[in-house]
Amino acid sequence: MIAVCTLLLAAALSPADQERVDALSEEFRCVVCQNQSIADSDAEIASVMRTLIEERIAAGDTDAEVRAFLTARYGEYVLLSPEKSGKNALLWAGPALALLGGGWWAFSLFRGSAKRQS
Amino acid sequence: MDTSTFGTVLLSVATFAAAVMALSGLAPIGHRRGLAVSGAAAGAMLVTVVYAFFLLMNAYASTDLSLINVYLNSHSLKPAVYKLTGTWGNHEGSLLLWLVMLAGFGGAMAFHSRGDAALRKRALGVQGLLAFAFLLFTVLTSSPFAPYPATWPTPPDGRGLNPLLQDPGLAIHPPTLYLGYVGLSAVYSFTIAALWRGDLGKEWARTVRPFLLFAWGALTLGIGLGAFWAYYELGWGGFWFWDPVENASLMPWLAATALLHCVMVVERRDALKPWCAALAILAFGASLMGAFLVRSGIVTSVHAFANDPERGIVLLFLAVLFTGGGLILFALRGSSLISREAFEPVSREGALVLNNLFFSVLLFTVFLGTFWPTVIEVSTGTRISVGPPYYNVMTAPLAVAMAAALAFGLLIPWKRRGKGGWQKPYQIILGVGAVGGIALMVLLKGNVWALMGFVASLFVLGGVVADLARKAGSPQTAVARLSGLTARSWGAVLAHFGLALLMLGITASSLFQTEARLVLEPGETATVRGLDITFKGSAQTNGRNYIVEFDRIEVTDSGRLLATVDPSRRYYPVADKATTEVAIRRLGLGNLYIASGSSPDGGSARTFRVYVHPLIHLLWSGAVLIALGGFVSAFAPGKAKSAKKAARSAVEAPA
Repeated sequence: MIAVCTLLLAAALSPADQERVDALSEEFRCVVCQNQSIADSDAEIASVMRTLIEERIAAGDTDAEVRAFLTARYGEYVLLSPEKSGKNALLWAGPALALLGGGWWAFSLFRGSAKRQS
Repeated sequence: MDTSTFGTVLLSVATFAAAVMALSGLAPIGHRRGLAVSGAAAGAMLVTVVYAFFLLMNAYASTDLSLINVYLNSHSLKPAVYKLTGTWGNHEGSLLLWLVMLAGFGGAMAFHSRGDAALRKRALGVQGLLAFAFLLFTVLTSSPFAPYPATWPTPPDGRGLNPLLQDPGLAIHPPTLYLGYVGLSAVYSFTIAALWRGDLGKEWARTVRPFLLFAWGALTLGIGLGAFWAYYELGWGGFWFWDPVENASLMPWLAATALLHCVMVVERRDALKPWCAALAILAFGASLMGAFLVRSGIVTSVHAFANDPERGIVLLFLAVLFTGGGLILFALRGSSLISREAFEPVSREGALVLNNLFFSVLLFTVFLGTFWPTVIEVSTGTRISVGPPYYNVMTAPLAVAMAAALAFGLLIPWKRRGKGGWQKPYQIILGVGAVGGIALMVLLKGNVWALMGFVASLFVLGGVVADLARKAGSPQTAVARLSGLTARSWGAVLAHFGLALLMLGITASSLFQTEARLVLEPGETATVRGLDITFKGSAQTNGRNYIVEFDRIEVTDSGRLLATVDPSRRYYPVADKATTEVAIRRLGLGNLYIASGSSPDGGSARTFRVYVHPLIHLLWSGAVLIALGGFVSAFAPGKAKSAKKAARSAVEAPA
C-alpha cells in the first residue's frame, strides 16, 4: 500500500522535480543511521523523510524551503551540509583562510630566499 | 602456568624490555654500547610481544573461556578463520596487534644497519619510549589476558563476534592499516632523534625514506581495503562516507603524503627542514589521534568499537603527550634547521612546496569537518552534522588545483627555470585536460563535479605521460633510457598513474552511477540501465553460525542471460544481528550491485536496491597501484648502490 502511494506520488512529479528530490535526499542525514544520507538508507524514517521531500516539491516549494521545513521538523542535525551561519563561520571559511595563510607563507619563503640570493 | 598468567608475564617482560630500550637509547652513554643494548632490548621486546600475540591467537582458536576477552568476543561455533581474525576484532586484541607492529618497527630500526649510529641510538630510545607507554597502557587498563572472574558462573560458550566483522576483510584491513599507522612511529622516532641534536638533513631523509614509503604504501592499501570492505559489506552502494573514523585514517595519510614529497626536497636541496620535521610529528600524531578516536565514543561511526570514554582519555593523553612533546622539541630546535639556500619558485622544489601547501589545506579541512560537530556540541549544545556535501564542495576544486600542480612538478627541473622546455608540454596538458574534461561532461551530461573530476584525472594522466615521454627521449632511445630508470622513478610513475585512475574511478562510479529501488514479486522483471532484472524467488538455508535467506535474481541483457545472483540477508542468532550480503557482478570495468532488503509487507515481494557503478574497478586498481608505487620506492636501492649499477650498465638516464 505504502509502495503504491509512493509510486503514485512519484508519478505525479515531473522528471526534473524527481531529480531535485534525488539531489535533496543526498543532503539529509537519516537520523537513526550512522552517517548515511536518506538517499542511501533503507530505514523507515529515511523513506518517510524522502516522501516529505516529494510532498514539499509537489506543493511547489523551492529547495531552500524544503531544507527549512526538514530542519524545523528534525533539527539542524539532519543537514549533512551545515548551515552557513555565524557559528559555523570557521568551518566554512577555515579552508580558504588556510590556503591564503599558507600561500602567503610559501610566497615569503621564495621572496626571502630570492633576497638572500641577490 | 595458565594462559592468563603466562600472557601477563610475557607482556610484563616486554614492558621491561621497552624500558631498557628507552633508557639505553636516550641515556648519554657511548653510541656503540647504547645502540647494542637498545637493539638487544628491541629484539627481546619483539620476541615477547609476538609470543603473547600468538598465545592470544591460540586462545581464540581453541575458544579458551578462561580469558574474559575470549568470552566476550568469540564463540566456539564461529568458523575457524574468524576465530583467528577475531583476535584483533576488539579493543584489547587490536591493541596487542598495534604493539606487535610497534615492536616490529623497533626491531627493523635496530637491525636496519644504515645511518648514523648516534641518530639510530636515540631513535631506538624514542621508539622504546613509545612501546613502553603503550605496553603499560595495555597491561594496566586493557590486558587481553585478564582472567574470567572466578566468582562468575561458568559460561556455556562465548558471546560471539559482531557479524559485520565475520568477513575476510577483518583478516587484512586492520593489519594493513596498522602497519601504516605504526610505521609512522619509526618516522616520528627518527625525527625526534634528529631534532634532539638539531641536525635534520640528508642523512635523516635517507634513513626515514624507506620507513615512510613503506608505512605510506601500507596505509594507502589499508584505507583502500577499508573502502572496498565497506562497499561490499554494508550494502549501501558506496565506498566512502566521510565517517569520522574514515577521516581519522585519511588524516595521517594526507600528512604522510605531504611528508614524503617534502623529504625529497630535504634530500635534494637540504631545504624545508623545519616544515618536514613538523609534518613528521603531525603525521604520527594524527595516527595516535585516530587510535583514540575509534575507542573514545565521542564520534558515532560504523567503526564504533569499545566505546569506553575512560580508557579513551588515557589514549588521548598519550596522543597529546607524544604529539605535544614532539612539537615542544620542534619549537626549541626548529629555528636551527632553517637553511640559507636560495629557492627558485619556478622549480621542482617550488612545485613540491605547492604540493605541501595543498595537502596541508586538505588535512586542515578534514580535521575541521571531523571535529566541528564536537566543537559546536560542546559550545552551544546543538548537534550538527558535517557530511559529504561539505567535503565535496571543499575538496573537489582543490583536487583540480593539486592535479595542475602535480603535472607542473613532474615536468619542471630542480633548482632552476631551465630553458623553458617544460612550458610547451605543460600548456598542452592543461589545454587537453580542460577541453577533454568539458567534452566528457557535455557528452555524458555530467554536472560541474564531473567536470572537475575529469579535468583533474586528465591533468595527472597528462603529467605522467609527458614525464615518461621526456624521460624516454626519442623513440630510438626510449627502451634503453626507460629501462635505465631507477626503481624510485618507477615508484613515482606507478603512484601518480594510480592516482589518475583512482580519480577517474571515483568520478565515474559516484557521479554516473544508476540507482534503482525496486519492489518485485517473484516472477516480476524490472529494467535498470538496459539490464532486465528478474526476481525468481526466495529460499532459506542454514550457514555455519547463521541462517541465510537469499533471493534469486536473473540478469539478462536483451534476452541473453548475463548472470544468476543471490543477494541475501543473514541472521546471526548468537549476536542477534542481521547482515546484508550484496551480490556484485562485474560488467566490464564496472559493477552491477544488488542489495536485497526485507519484504515490504511480510508477503513474498522483496525490495531491492540495484546499482550500476561504471569504472569502479579503476578506483580499486588505482589504489593498489598507488600503494605499489610506495612499496617499489621503499625497497629501491639507495643512491650509492643505484649509481654504481648505472655506471656498470653505462646507460645514460636523466634524473
